[in-house]
Formats: sequence, C-alpha cells, structure tokens
Amino acid sequence: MEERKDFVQDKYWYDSLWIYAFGFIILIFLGIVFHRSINPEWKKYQSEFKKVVEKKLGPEVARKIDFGIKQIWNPDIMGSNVADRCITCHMGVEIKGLEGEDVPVVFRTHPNPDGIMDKHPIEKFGCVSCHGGQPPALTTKQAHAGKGVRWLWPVYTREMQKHYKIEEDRLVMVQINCNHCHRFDKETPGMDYINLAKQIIQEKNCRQCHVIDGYGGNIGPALTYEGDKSHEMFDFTHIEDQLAEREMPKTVFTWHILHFENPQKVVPSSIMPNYGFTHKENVALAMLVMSWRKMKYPIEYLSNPDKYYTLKLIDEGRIKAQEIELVSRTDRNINLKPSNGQQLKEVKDISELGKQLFASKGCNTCHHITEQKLVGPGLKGVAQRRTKEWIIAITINPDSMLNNDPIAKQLLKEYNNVRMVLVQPVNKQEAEAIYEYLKTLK
Amino acid sequence: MEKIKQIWRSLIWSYDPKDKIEATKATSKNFWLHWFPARTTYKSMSITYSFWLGTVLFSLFIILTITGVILMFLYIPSTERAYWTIKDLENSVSFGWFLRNAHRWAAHLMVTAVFLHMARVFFTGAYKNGGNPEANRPLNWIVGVILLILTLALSYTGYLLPWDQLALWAIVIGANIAKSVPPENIVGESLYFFLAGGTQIDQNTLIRFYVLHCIFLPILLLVLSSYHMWRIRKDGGLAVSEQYKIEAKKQNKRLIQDEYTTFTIPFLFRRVFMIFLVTTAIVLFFSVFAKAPLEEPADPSWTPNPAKAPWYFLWIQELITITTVKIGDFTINGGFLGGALIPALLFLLWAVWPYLDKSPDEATGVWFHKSRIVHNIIFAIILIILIAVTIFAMYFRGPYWQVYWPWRWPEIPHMF
Repeated sequence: MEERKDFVQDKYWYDSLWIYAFGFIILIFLGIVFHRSINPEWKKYQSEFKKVVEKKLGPEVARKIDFGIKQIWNPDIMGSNVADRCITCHMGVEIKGLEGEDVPVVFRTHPNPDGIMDKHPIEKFGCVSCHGGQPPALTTKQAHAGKGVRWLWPVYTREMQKHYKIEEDRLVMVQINCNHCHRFDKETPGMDYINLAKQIIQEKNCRQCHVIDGYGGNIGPALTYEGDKSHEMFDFTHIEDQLAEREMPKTVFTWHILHFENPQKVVPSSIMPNYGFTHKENVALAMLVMSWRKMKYPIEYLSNPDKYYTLKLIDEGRIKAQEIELVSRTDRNINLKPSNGQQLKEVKDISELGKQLFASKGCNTCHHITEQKLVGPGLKGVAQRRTKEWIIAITINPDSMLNNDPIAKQLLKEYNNVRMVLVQPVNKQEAEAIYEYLKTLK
Repeated sequence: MEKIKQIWRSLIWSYDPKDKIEATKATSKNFWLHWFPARTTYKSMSITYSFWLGTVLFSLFIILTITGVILMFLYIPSTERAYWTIKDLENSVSFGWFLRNAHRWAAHLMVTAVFLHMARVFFTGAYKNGGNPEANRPLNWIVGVILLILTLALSYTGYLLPWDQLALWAIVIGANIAKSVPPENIVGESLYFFLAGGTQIDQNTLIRFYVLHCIFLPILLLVLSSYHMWRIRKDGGLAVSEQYKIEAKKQNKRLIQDEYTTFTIPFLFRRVFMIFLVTTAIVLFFSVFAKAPLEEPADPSWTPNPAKAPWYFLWIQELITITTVKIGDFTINGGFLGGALIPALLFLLWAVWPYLDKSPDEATGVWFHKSRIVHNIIFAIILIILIAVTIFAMYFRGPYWQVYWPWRWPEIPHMF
C-alpha cells in the first residue's frame, strides 16, 4: 500500500463525497416520482366510494366493485383516441340506490328526469358530450377544466350559473350541449332555455340580417357556427368596466349575454337593434348561439339528421343557400303569424290592418315607430316627410328605389349602406294599408 | 470474511494497479473508456475553468435518448391521435408524466447548456491553437456551431410533436420566418415546403418532424459530437492545457509528467460520473417540481394571442418586429432582415471569429485575458442584447404583440 500511494495521489478525494451526495438526492427525487405515481387523486375517491357503498348498500355490494381507471371509449362520438374517464371518480352514476341527499354529489346516481338517461345511455354518450369537461383527465382540476386549465370547454356547474346570474336551482347550461344534436328541433322537451331562444329567433326574424343554419341575410355576421368562434376573436375592450362592475367573468358567454342586452355597448359600430330582452332571454340566446358548433357526430346520434345533411351540403357549396331560403320563406308564409303570436284579425279600420301588416311583414325588425334609429330610420312622422307615392314605392320595391331615387340613395349612405330588403313580398293593397298606418304615427 | 470481501471485489469493478504502467493501461483495456487519454492534466479537470458543460451536454444527450426511446413506444405521430397520446402520458400511463417532463426539461437544459458552452469557449479563448502546430481548434469551433444548430433543430422538431396549440403555432411562426427569405417565391417558398412537407403545417409536417427528431437528427448529432470529442484529443486536450507548455517555455524547463497530469482512471472518470449525476439530479428536480406545458389541441382555425416561437427563437421573432420599419411608402421587410439576414450573419460571424482573432498565444484557455478584451466585450454585448431581447419578447409581449408589463397582462378570455 505504501508503494501505491507514491504514484496515485487522490487530489480530488472529495469527488467521491459529491457522488454519494448526488446519488442520494437522485434517490429522493425518484422516491417522490414513485410516490406520486402510485398515489393518484382518483384512488382517494375510489376508497371513499367503497365506504359509501358499504354504508348504503352493504359490504356484499362493495366487495364486487371493480377498482382502477374506468373509462368509456366510443370512437363514434369522442374520436378514435379519446377516452372518457369521468366514471373513474364518479363511480356511482349508474348504480341504483345512491340517489339520496346523504350520498356525496360525486358518487350520486345520475338523475333520470323524463327517462332522459334511457334515451341517452352513458355507455353510448359518455359524460363529456353533455356536461363538458376534459375527457381523459384524472384529476378534479384538469377534468372539470375550470380556470387555469388549458381546455376550452369546462364542466357546466351550478356554481358557473351563479356567475352568469342564472337564477335556477337546476343545471340549465347543459342544454347548450343538448343542442349540438337537437339543433334543428323546433321544440325539445326539457330544453326550456333553448326552446325560448329558438322562439325569439323566429319572432325577431334574425335571419333578416344573419346567416343561421346556412341561410339568411348578410348584413350582420354569419352565425351558423358562432359557437366555434375562438375566445381570442372577441373584443372585450368596451365591456371591461361592465365586467368588473357586475362581477361577471371575462368569457365569450358573458360577451354574448351583454351583446344581446345592448349591442352598441359591446360593439359601438353595431347596427343591431336593441330589443330590450330580459336577462333570461339574453342568457337563453347566448346559450343558443354558443351551441351552434360544427360537431362530427354520426347520423344516428342526431335529431333531424336530414337538416344536418342539408347544412353540410351548403357548407360544401354543393347546394345554394338561396334555394333553401326560398323553400323556407314559402314555409313561413303558410304559418303567417304576427310577432305577438296572434293570427290576423278581421279589422274595420284599414290603419289597424296596416299595423298588423307592419309586424307580420317584418318591417319592425329594422324600423322603430318612434324617431329612434334602428337598422333603418325611425318612422315617426314619415308621412309628413315623404309623399304617399314614395312610401308605397319603397315598400313594394325597395331595390329599384335604392338604385334610382335620390332621396333613397341619400338615406342608404346615411345608414351605412345597409340595403332595405323585404322579409316577405308586399303587394299594392298591403302597401297602402301600411301607409295608412304610418300616417297615424305623428 | 475474506471470502465475502473477495466475492464483493469480483462483483464490482475494483481499481488496484500495481504500478504506473498498469494504471496507464486501465483506459485502453476498458471498451467503454478507451477513448479517454491515459493521463489528464490537472488544469483541464478544473471545475471553474470549463464548468464541464461538454460533459453536461453529453449527459443530457444520454438522458434524452433513454427517455426519448421509451416515449417512442407511447407516442403516435398522427394529427388525430398525437395530442391524445400525450394526454394519456399525463394521465394514465405509469410514470408517463415523469418521462415527458424529464424529456422536455432535459431538452430545454440542453439548449441552454449548448449556449453556455459556446460562451465559455469564447470567453476563455479556447478556440485558439496556442502555438500548438498539431492543433486545429478553430475547426472544432465550427463543428461546435453546427452542433448548436443541430441541437436547436432537434428541439424545434420535438416542439411540434405534442400537436397542441403551443406546438402548432410555434412551428407555424418558425416556418413563416423561413418563408420570408427572399426571393420569397423561390427560396422562401421552397424552404417552407421543405420544412412543412406541403403547403401548410399538417400531417406531412408531423411525420417529417417525427422522423427528423427521432432518427435523422440524433444520429447526425451523435456522429458530429463524436468527431467533436475526437478532435479535442487530436488538438491536445482542452485549450487550457496549452498553458503548461507556454509556462515551461518561458521558464525554459522540461515538463515533469507527474507534476501536471494525473491518471484518467479513476480521477477523470470519477468526475465525469459526478457531473452525470449532477446533471441527472437537476433534470429530476425540474421534472418533479415543474410541469411540461400542454395546451388545447392544435387548431389551425384560431391563433393563440400572442403566438410565440420557442424561447430560443424568440429573439428572431422580436428582431422581425424591430426591423419591420415603415419609412414613407417604403417598408423594410423585417421577416427577411431580422428573421433571416441578421441571424445568418451572426452565425457566420460567430463561426469565422477564431480566424479573425489575432491575439497572442498566452490568451489560449484563460478566462477574460487582457489581450482579448475587445473580443470579449463585443461578444458580451451581442450576448446581452440577445438575452435582453429574448426576455423582452418572453415577458413583455402580450396580445397583438403589444408591450405590457408582465404583471399587467390583460386577462385572456375563456369560453365559459
């Protein structure tokens, strides 16, 4: 040994100590990795669930529970590589007997109002397609995809409804996802908010300015796939103060609610009329437009699949939207209804008939009967400003008037080049009746 | 008891040379270690001279290879499925989150270390031959610049693979920079086509980047870095060891081997192992305490605001903004000037710098030598500008590429 020391001098003896030290540190880190991997969050929920089942349904049932990661995999609806893993923690959704209030919400049996679960079995639809959330995630935070999670579609909760001042004791925002497949239903049982919004769309004749379901006017932006518009595309600069004041979250959903409430407050240059909707109506409309997304569900999942197919053909440019529009217009003529929902009545006074025509022909979509500007000018005192011939001419054929008449041309410029169009054709007698009505607006 | 000791000794590698010759042979007798020299100078073993960044890089490459190969079993390079395989790594694959974090952090650290390595070599003047007629260190410096570009390419190709919004838009920006190289309709378009494998970033790009990332670039890097290491030995070791020769020449005496060198095995080898452990510990630290980001699935129809290139290309993105200047009707093409010309010139200048450096031999392998003060100041200024621009683009550029204080960024809206 003496001899060896002569030619091998360990000048860096402390290196060995560093090796031991860092080896130890590495072991600690690997220990943390191992610990984290064998103790995921969902295991705590599953052991909790076992206790609940033991208490409610007895140890016999609890013993039969199959533990581990649970998932629903339906390539038709989720995409080929996406598994829906909600049931890993929400293990009780399909087990009967866990309905009671004493069972924690996480483990409760899914309620079945009007047999909705029989029509939408979990093994076929999964959870996320209706409730939102991040399908493959296995932690509460990630799966529910609330704030701070990079996922666009969070789980709809009652908590969330409170932020939007939806005064309901039930989950209504789920209806947004219902409408992915029920888009073309006129009325769907259980979807009261969406049904209300659909009714408003018909009454206020939104297609006058907007393309919806592939057809409509092009004065406003197309709304067929409004729900697919990215959150990055919305301008919040004009409503930042409102958001803070009313404590509403900075979301696209809020944007839509506030926009229906008062379009000009959100988009100052907007020419969309302010209809004075109630908050419930605003929420319903916001839900409806947010539900208009392009979903790739197979045909057997869709309600009215032929309409989806027509929309697909329009998207692909294989049929023209105008053709659909014509069909739909005649369709509407048959079910002619004035905006207050009553059929035309027999009237003695011709101006009374004009008043009803003013509503049923859709004039009120763009014209106020006061001085207030909407899309078009307010009509108070119009009979004093213009001649009878002028009014009747523009009522029957606005296009030729806008092209040839100097006053009409001037007005067109004033009103941002938004051309007057007829919702429904108006004949001479009808135009005269409408003129009689306009004469009463002094 | 003796027997147990014997068995233990035969089980582990015992180092017990009888004399100097046997100790010297220890390197050449071991297949894995034969590429080490038999003896190593004390100066080149110093921690504070080189910070062992080359060894750190080699360690990171090993970690990346091991984690990367395992990840290859779990990843599907398809635009439909890639994102969801990453989600499975995060959620359901055993140790999947750890593998991904370790791979990601090792990759970021490798890009960082390769920059630091280059800065170290520059500030110590280690690209100089120092009067050694057999050395050709400037050539090895150029190889180093190529290795730097290769590392960036590896990181950039890997960036796309998760196929999330972060990946897609970082790659879109990178590819659009390539597109702006004039003449745009010839060179720019071809470069873009070469990168994307088509006219847009899609499945073609993904498979291209995947093959480049997993096979082509790693092999190229391995071959070139082997050459890089072989050259170090042919050049007479680290540049700092030239100092011994210069010293000896001054004092007019012969070098005594035992005075300035020691045996590679075990001393150099042990230190290499130590650095490997330190590197591993750092990678583990980051992968345990910091998550690798994963954003929404890639969607070409909406751009995150702001969309940013990977951090090591942010300085180029920022340069594009700075150099896009309107003077009257005339607009300077920032995409070309800041995105291609300035970086290309910088890299070129960087590569040929050793041939422009005419400082004396004494400056070889010494930190901040007096005679190289101008070189070091110029280099430091460029470095500081690049780092400052990167930090500025990373933390001060908000939506619409506007300038914001990092703590006053506007809240990004959500859907609900």
